[in-house]
Amino acid sequence: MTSRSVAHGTFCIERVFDASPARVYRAFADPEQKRRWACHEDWRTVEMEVRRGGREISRGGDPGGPVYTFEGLYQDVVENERLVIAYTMDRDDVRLSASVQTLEFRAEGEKTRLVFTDMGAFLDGHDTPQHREAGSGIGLDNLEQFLRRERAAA
Amino acid sequence: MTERSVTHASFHIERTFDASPARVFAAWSEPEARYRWFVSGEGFEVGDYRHDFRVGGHEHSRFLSQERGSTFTNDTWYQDIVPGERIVFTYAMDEDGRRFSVSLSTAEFRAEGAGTKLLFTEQAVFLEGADGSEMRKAGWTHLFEQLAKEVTRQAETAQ
Repeated sequence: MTSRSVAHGTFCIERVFDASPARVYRAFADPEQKRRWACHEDWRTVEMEVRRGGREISRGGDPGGPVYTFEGLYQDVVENERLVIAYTMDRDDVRLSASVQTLEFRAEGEKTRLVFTDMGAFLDGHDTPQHREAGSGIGLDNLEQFLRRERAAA
Repeated sequence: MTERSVTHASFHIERTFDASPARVFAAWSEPEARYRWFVSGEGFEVGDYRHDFRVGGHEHSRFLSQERGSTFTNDTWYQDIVPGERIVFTYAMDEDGRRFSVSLSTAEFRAEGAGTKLLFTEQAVFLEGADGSEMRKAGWTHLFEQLAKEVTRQAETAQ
């Protein structure tokens, strides 16, 4: 019999990007933009509509391995300022977690402080808040490289 | 320009009920039971209620606050259900069409003797115009009083 448990975890990551809030927001809200830094051969965005009630679905995993599915629903969208999304993460047919994520885009001089807060319920020990935080950090590293390359090319 | 603010807060409520986990869970899963303890109440008029208790289900309720003269809506999405044991859901609340909170809630039902211990955890995002963590926790505490009455009522009816 499966051992049932729920672990609740909240993490907050802050990053300062050398770009305006509108620019950083667009990287998250425009599907074409987001694909360029958030997606790779093992992770694809299937559906994305950034508006209240809009869905975002991404899927991927190592070849031959389990398929991970991120399925989210946008709960609050304030252009250039804030996104709130409620999402689940599954591994094949198993629900790993349910979470609510807030992204705040705060102007700091000519730069942007992104405040990324993720509150999650991690089910039955399949995944952990620490692992989720590490994965989120890697995503933000990719965003930073994407924005840096763009500045260098300008 | 609106002053923007976001607050993140978590709270936890534990409460025991004189009924089995299956019976307490049924008060959430059955539409008429849930209407009695969760949807209807004093001080507001229920405009709309849609029950859709399943993983992936979406419930919408609308009610008019007599005190404030405004319309509140609650949109709930179920993300994990283990019958008799656990419910995980997200709910968002609006006042007059303006979203003021988004919450992730977990209800766990554990057998304790012949009764049930409910462990309720809420992780909430409070937006502009929100009630806040203290008031929200008080709101759920009151609802669990109503739940206790519902569960007792069902036991008495069954006798």
